[in-house]
Amino acid sequence: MGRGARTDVFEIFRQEKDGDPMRHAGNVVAPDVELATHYAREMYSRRNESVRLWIVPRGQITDLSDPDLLQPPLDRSFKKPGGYVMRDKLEVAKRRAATEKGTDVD
Amino acid sequence: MVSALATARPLESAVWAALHDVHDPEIPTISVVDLGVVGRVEASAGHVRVELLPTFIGCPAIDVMRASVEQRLAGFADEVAVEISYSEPWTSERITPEGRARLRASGFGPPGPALDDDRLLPVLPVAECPYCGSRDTTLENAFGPTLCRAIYHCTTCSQPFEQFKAV
Amino acid sequence: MSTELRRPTRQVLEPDLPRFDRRDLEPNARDALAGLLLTMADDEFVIGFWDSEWTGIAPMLEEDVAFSSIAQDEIGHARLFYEMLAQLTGDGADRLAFGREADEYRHAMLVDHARSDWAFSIARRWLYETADAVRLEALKESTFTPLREVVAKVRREERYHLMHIDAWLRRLAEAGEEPRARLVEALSRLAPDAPSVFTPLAGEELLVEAGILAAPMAQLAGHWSSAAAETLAKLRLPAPPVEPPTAEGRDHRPPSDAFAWLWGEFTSVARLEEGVEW
Repeated sequence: MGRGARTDVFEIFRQEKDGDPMRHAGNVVAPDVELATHYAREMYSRRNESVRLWIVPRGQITDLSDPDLLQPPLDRSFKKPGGYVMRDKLEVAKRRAATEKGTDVD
Repeated sequence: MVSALATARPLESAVWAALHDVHDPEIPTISVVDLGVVGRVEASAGHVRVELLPTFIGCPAIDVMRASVEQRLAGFADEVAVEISYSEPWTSERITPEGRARLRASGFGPPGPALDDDRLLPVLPVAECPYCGSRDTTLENAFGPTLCRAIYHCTTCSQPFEQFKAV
Repeated sequence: MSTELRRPTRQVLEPDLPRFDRRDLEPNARDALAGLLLTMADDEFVIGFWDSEWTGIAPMLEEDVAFSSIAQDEIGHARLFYEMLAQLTGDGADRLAFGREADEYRHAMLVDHARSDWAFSIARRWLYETADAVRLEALKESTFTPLREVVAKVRREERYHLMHIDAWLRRLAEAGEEPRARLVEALSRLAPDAPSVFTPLAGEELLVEAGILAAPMAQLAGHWSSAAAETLAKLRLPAPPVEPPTAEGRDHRPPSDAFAWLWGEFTSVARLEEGVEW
């Protein structure tokens, strides 16, 4: 490549066999997507180890790694099963219902 | 006894003469003798032994040269042994002046002096262009198409050339 | 007697090790030496094959040539060590190189890793070459003549490897940003395996006693570690570990996925047909 040639980084994703998810394999540096595709074939498929490749300019990828958005510290466990401990309250309520009706507790 | 001694020298000379016919498989103008890869030659009645010293251990040409030497010396004695040896390391200084001239004529830069054994990090010497003799040359790659050669470029005549590496 | 041509009755192709009779070595010392040669051969063989994986796809043409040339050197060294080992033990060099199961190889964990990205290959190459240089220096005065002679030759060739890899370590370290970050990450990932080249060998005290090896592996590890730390510190890179190498450093039972793949590749021709020559 000549002096001053623009080069971009392209992230490469590959699929090992039909049905597999696309997995990030690495990246290549190239002046355009065509050459990046050739390099990607050589780097990640020259022994027929991939059935599909995605060649994506790095700038086209939106990266989200903000922990406040992805792993917020607020405890919202009450929304999930098991996040709200019911067992003891249920026991108490059953006992109360049984005594009121006069039947045995399970 | 006397006859054995008298005939050993002519046999040895004959072997050396024959070795001049065996060339580097890649550079047909230079013989194994001029390359300095022939070590000891022992020739006595019924037995000839030739030592070859590899330029670089991994060089595949040494196997070809060994087979060529065996072929060339077939019939010189009942027993012909051609061995690859490390009894002394091949150094670039073993190339004869004739060899250096032939390398230049083929467009290769002959190697500089052998590197001092204790200096682990060599400074590559300035290479002289085999085409025009200029010393205004740049190292393009310390590694080249074969183990023994580096790639230079001559600023004066704009030719790339291969330069033998000093070891 | 004339020098007229006659057909030779015998061509000697594979002579015994010169100026050494294997019976001069006491059996335990011979076994220890065989162990040492096997580790050296396997190290060079495996790193040679990993580095040859860059052929055609190195980041720049000059490095494609450089890595290919260096890999050819390494495999050439391996071949020579396998041949020496074959003459010492009576085994065959080809069988040693291509005939073992993956879990029988004794290369260092450092060279077991796949080539990964460029920074990783550079980092691993630097850690290996600097360690190998220490090992070779400990053999340069070896009383075992064939090894001393071969090591003298190998060291001359390794100078170019060291020059090349020192330049690349500095280049990536000083490039900043992503190249430097990748180099730092590679060095961290490789750190636990870096001392594995100096895994203690069975019977090595016999080799030291006989003057075949200058010092035990653990001591060589120390030399390497302090020299490496000095170079890395100058480039503000993380220092190598100071923990001594463990016995598992060369144990490949079971082999890693990466090495199992590589083994499949370099034995593929040999396994096509028994006794095949190519």
